[in-house]
Amino acid sequence: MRAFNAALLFLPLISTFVAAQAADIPMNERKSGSAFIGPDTKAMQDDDTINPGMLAVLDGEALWTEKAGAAAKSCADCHGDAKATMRGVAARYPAFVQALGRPVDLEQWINMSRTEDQKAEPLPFESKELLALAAYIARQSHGMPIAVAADAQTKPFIDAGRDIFERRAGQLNLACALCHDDNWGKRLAGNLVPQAHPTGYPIYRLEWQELGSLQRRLRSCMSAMRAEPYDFGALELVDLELYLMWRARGMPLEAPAVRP
Amino acid sequence: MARALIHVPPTAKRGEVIEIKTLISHVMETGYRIGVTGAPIPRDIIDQFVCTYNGEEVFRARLFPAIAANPFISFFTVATDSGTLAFSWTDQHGKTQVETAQITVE
Amino acid sequence: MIAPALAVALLFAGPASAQSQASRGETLTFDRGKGNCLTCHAIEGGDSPGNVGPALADMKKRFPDRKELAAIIFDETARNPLTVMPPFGRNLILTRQEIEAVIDFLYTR
Repeated sequence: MRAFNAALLFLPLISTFVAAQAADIPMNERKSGSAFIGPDTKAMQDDDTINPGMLAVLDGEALWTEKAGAAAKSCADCHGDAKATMRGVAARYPAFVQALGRPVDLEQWINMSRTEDQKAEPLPFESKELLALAAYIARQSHGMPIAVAADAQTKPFIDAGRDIFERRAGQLNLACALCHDDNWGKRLAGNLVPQAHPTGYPIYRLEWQELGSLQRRLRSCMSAMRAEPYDFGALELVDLELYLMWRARGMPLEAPAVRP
Repeated sequence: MARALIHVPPTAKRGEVIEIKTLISHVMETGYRIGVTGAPIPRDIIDQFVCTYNGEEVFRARLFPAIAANPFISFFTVATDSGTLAFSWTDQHGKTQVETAQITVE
Repeated sequence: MIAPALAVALLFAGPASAQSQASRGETLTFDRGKGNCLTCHAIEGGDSPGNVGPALADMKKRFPDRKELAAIIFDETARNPLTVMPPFGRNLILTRQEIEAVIDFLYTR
């Protein structure tokens, strides 16, 4: 009872901090998800000859030169050698698209190219082909620092993403920030809580037994919190992706990463 | 043809113990999962893996539904002579895929 | 002759139902779909606990007033708006009766 009364004294102080809910992780304390996985998983990620995500990268490399659509063009026909032209691209997505007046993520950008330039059907979200192309393109930014634009144009969307990250949701009344900013490094039923930086996407998740996108991971997290997940391709998910990439700015990309 | 990743050291000393790692793309459907229709998704697995070194069998494994998709198999063998390592995966339907890798032994 | 037997039966009805509440409370505590308490709290008898919250030990000594524990489980945001603990009562994860059963169990820890 005494503790409760003492807590009441602090109530006005607590309520002023509600808006600034979670403190951002200091820049020099940020760690990639690789720091939270076991040594066997890390060894698998670091060896191209056994990283299961590389199966998708090789598929993507093959798709890159495959002609598609009414225009009968391949990605290579316009973009040439991906090793040169796609270098650094994944590190700056989601990126602002003038024609849409908002940012899009890499998978959406690939589909925009497919429909507008190749005159082909867009690839479904989470399809093997779309993930393979995304993995192949992301691979070309391996080791490069994440560098999404943070300017007057993108700021409203970064802020919208931050709102989602810090907002409580679901039956469990949890916000992403509460675990990933405030309680990273602690354990939830034996699983280490990582800081949630999208440094390795698309990832090969051992639990999925396949490659998956950041949107898939965000949706499954929302389900775990017993909140209604946003649909694939939802603007909210892209805003959240943009915020997460901004939050991880400067950290090196390591796609495709391997996660438990 | 399923995509395969193979890790064999390109060179080794005679008598040296070397580690070989293999990964092949395969769904390894257990047969226990229930599909959207309510019926189980049929089992579809690789059930055998064999490695030969210059024609001589050096490793064999039987696989069962407990093995996860995209099976990763690693093992050790002794580097004897330069030549070819051949890896074959056979599925439950009897279909076999073979990949090879070269090794130079000094 | 029946009355004394009935009285004896009634005498044991009280403690007997309290025992079953603790047992029911244990089931609710370790059930991932209900209390799911192990995800964040170390509790004696539970495996692979989390450590986001404090260990739940010496509960009867630390929380002699049942109502305080009930309030925490029902909705800890009322006391601490920044808490990570889900509001089990307010968000209809546990009924008030189930919360009482959980407290009965926690008092044995």
